[in-house]
Amino acid sequence: MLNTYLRLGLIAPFFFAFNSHSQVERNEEVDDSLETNTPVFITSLEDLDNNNTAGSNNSSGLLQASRDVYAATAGFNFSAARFRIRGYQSDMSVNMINGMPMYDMESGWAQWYKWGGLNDVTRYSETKAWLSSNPYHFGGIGGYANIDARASARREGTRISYALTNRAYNHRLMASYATGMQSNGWAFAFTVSGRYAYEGYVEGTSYEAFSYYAAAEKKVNDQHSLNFAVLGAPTTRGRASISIQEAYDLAGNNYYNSNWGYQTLADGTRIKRNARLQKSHLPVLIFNHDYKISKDKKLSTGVSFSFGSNGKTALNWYDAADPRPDYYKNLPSYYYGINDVANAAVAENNWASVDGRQLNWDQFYFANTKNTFAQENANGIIGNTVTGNRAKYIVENQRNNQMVGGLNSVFSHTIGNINLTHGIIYQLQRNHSFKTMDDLLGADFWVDVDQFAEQDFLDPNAAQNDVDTPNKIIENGDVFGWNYYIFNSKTELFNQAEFSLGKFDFYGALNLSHKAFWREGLYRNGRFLDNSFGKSDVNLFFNYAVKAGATYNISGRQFVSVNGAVMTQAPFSRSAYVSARTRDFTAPNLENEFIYTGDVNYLIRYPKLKMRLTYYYTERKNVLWSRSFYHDEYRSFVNYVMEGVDYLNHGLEFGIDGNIYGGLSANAVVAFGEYIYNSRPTASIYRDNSAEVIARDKVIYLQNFKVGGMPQTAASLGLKYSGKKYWFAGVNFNYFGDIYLDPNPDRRTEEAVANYVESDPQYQETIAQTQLNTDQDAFLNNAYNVSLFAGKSFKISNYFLNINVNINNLTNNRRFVTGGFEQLRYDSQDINRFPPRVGYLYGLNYFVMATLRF
Amino acid sequence: MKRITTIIAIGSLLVFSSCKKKYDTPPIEDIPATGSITIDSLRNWQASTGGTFRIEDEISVHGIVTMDEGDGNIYKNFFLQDATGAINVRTNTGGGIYLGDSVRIYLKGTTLGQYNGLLQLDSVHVDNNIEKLAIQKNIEPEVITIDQITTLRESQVIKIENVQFIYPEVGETFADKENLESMDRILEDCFGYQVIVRSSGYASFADQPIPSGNGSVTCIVSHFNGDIQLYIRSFSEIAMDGARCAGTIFIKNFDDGSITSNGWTNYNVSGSIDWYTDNAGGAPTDYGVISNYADFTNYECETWLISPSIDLTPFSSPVLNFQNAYNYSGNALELYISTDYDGSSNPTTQGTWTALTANWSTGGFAWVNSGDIDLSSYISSNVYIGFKYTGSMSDGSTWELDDIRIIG
Repeated sequence: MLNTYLRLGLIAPFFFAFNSHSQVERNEEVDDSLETNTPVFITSLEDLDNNNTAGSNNSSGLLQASRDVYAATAGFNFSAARFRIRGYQSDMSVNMINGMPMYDMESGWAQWYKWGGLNDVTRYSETKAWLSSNPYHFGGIGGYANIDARASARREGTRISYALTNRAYNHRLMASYATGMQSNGWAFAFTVSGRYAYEGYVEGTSYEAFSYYAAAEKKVNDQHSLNFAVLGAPTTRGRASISIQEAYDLAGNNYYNSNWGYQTLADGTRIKRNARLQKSHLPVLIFNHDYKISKDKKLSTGVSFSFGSNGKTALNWYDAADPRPDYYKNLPSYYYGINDVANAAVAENNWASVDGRQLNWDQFYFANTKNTFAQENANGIIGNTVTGNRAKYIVENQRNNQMVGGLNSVFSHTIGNINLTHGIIYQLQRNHSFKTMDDLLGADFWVDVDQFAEQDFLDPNAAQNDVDTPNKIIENGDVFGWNYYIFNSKTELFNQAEFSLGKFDFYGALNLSHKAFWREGLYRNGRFLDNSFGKSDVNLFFNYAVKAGATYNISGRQFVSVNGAVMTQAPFSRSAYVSARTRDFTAPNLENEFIYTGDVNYLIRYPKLKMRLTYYYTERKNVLWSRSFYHDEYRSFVNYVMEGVDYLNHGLEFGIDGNIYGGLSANAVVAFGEYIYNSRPTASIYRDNSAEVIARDKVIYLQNFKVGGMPQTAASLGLKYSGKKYWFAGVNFNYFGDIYLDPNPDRRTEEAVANYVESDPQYQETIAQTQLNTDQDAFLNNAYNVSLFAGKSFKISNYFLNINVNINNLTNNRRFVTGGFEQLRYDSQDINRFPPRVGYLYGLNYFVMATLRF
Repeated sequence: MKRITTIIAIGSLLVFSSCKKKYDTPPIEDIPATGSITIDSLRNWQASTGGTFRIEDEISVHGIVTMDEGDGNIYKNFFLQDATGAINVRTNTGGGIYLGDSVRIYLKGTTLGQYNGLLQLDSVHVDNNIEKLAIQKNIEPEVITIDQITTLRESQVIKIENVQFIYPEVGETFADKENLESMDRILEDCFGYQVIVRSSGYASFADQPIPSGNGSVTCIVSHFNGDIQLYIRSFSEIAMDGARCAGTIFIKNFDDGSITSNGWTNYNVSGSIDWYTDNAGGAPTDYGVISNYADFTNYECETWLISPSIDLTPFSSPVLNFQNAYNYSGNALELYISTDYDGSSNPTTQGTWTALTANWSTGGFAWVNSGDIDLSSYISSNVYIGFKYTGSMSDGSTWELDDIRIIG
């Protein structure tokens, strides 16, 4: 049981991250995709009967996610509805491998895709889902997870599992083998895994992933041991889109995906092809030295390195119409809006057929193979004319290749009843952003110019993305578009003390850090000759963080604990660079964020009854918020930057788990939170392809708006029965409330409502916030799901066979809107012209797995 | 060892099965081959059928692209020319067709019609209807003079030489880039012929200053119900840096429907009769009118129409010229000039006003040209032209003015 929680707790922080990707997505196609409704990290209750524990030996281990029914329920039952513990994004928690922090320094987000599919390795992470002491690193206010990747930490033996599911993928095969620590002082461990789907739950979402793990450990003597581990997961998967309700209704499918279309092969068969593939392979190599200096002194040192390729493909087009079927000008509503009934009928007719509402790959090839063009002065060579079919449609791969090195050393020792930890961590990361030509779709070449600049500027140089090689001819595999590095370096000094005094346990920690980031442009952009190429100024930040907590042991079965933290946090380079793709240009006032948080907890720990009640309060102030979107009136991407965004997150957490009779137990969990914007930020709007400032220091009336895209209230009731003959079964009923559309700041401005008097209904329509799932006639406003799980173990001579089944959304509720956001583009004369994008809970889905251990 | 072998076997199976696959190129179909029709025949076809109709015939038109969207002056259309004529082709999407492309347009499914008199082939799908046969087959524009530009040259590419933009427009912009609005500019030759150049606010050169010199420009001939409009097809084809010849220094043509635009003043010395604009009598554009007759009554009045301050110092022999017409009995319209008026006071008490002689209308609303009125005695940086209208309680004429120009 504990182990279930352990593993489920591990996934809890995973879903913090899901919605946060939206910060970098372009084309309004936010990667807030539906597949995240059902996290791929949940691998069913495959180890319920496996009672391995990875307990921590200090009393703050009371708050380990592994022992907490709240964290387990949040991770397992709430995640499908995009619930996030305390409303935190993944940048509020830290993931580690062997104590080395692993996150994207550009954004602060977690990067599970680096080791996705290695569930045999990651299953036993040590996890705390909130503020606590941390033996490796200061951590985040949202907790931490540490994967022990040492060879000796793997259970000795062989394990082969096969899983069948209808979520992100259909099949998963995994095999692990570990020697355990052998008498010669060596331990080895291996895992390989493959996941595959021609099409996942959402149409057109293909999935091909392979992952590997290998570790070798040498125990030199009783004091020294050395470990080397490598983890990697080459993955290619087709992504789902998040669309507007009109598209769902026209397609008759709330999981409609605009990213795919049919392509005819030479033999006439038609296959589904997805234009937006995520392709990543970023192996992690880590080397550790563990030195037991004495009984109460320990030094752990690690060096890690991770590098590789990460990219997202996307369609692009030149001198052609936007081919995406759900682009607003391809939808009937656009034509009805301008009273063009004839074209509305054409659009409706298009949408009536699968071919019309999906991408038309054959047409792309057709158009590309008949567009003869002579590019004069190609590649900057005067008189060099290249003639051939110039591509109108292409698939490009927008790469963000990461290279990161880390060095950490943590010294811990015990003096009397005081545990002291001192750590130093240095990390340097280089993100290389560029585009490569993934597929010319039958054309001969693409020319590396900016189409919009071509029409907007007279100077022919202005259109050049790389003015040092003008009119660059791009063929498959070539780099083009933009090309730059973002460097981030961070040095941290970490000190922690833990001690007991009578019935009290205390901890306190101090972290001092220094962060630097800078940009280095590899292209001289024709629109920004002066500030696109070369190394930029270095942005420097100094930060401190302190935290402390106390636990009062009332009776040995009841505890009261309080935790608090105060910290500053440097802005992330991803938000700071307003238009990193074209130039070195940061938001005008780069300032530290200020965060303070605290919680009060009451815990009960009887063998048959466990309960926790918590109140938490977090303020995060002076956050830099930036988004980009395409604005077709300006014929340019537009960068929207808000400064001085404050957030307030507070609420109650309650979880109880008790044995009723015999093998029957019940649990209940309630999350009751309020996550709001807590300031009036100022916004500036910049064009991406010119230096024009569209607006400066607009006041955004955002105070008390709800943070959208996640339930602020959630509750679960569960029953579980454990049979005597190694079987179990359980059911959970989950309810969600207070889900809002994330507000578009620009609609909360004076200008947005300047044309309306306050009594005009359009005034409220523009500024009011939309709550989701408010259908009073529907059972619980449709905002519920039911999940079912069961498992059984068999022992056949020396073989153990486990069968596990997990079914989510048993009632196949397909009307539950789990999140969404208002588009940043809007029309103040017709607020419904650019409706919000929303996502639905997956219908019934399952995960069945068989595991063989020997 | 056996276990490691198992791992390796499963591993290689997984690696093998996740091998990178390349997408096949789908079979590409050709646009159907058909018979051909000339642009001239298309024009006759539309003229004889009338209205806008969808072409259902399996037939194609061949031609060479004479203007594309490159400079943003036109959008979702291009101009196509063959030996028999030229046509405006409107496409479903922007782009993809370039100057000098020799194309075949498969006409089935497209529509043929007129837009304010201009023949248009519409609903042309750039990918599905157009086959590029060759590229870089540029048609050399025919060099003609402004007076030779008629609707017979509709949609054709021409070059005009020894022309200049009229003086008041020098330094203005081609169009309103900020508000993305099209604007008309007047091009003239040294013989007084004028023609409108219309540019889009989306054009890349929209915010460029109108050149001051004399030279050549390559254009497409378009028209709006017969009123010629030229489109500059590329900013780089404007070569106007020669010395100016005598041309229009100043113009007031009331085409914007306003009396007081560009600094003109309607001054009521007595009474409250005002100048207004009208296009009654079948005039293609507005002119300025005044009449003291309303509600079956003649009102007593004295009303001046006064120009803004005009700087004539750069010119040696400027002349004033305008069109006028009148009807009904009453006082004649009077023409004055001043070089010391302050621009706002009562002209009967401020400024020295000198009467000028002009050819006046003989009545019956017959338009008469004033003749060239020599202003060389009044070269100053502060010249005002005033038209004085007077009416009495017993009678009053209706006077009309148009195309008030100073040439030099």
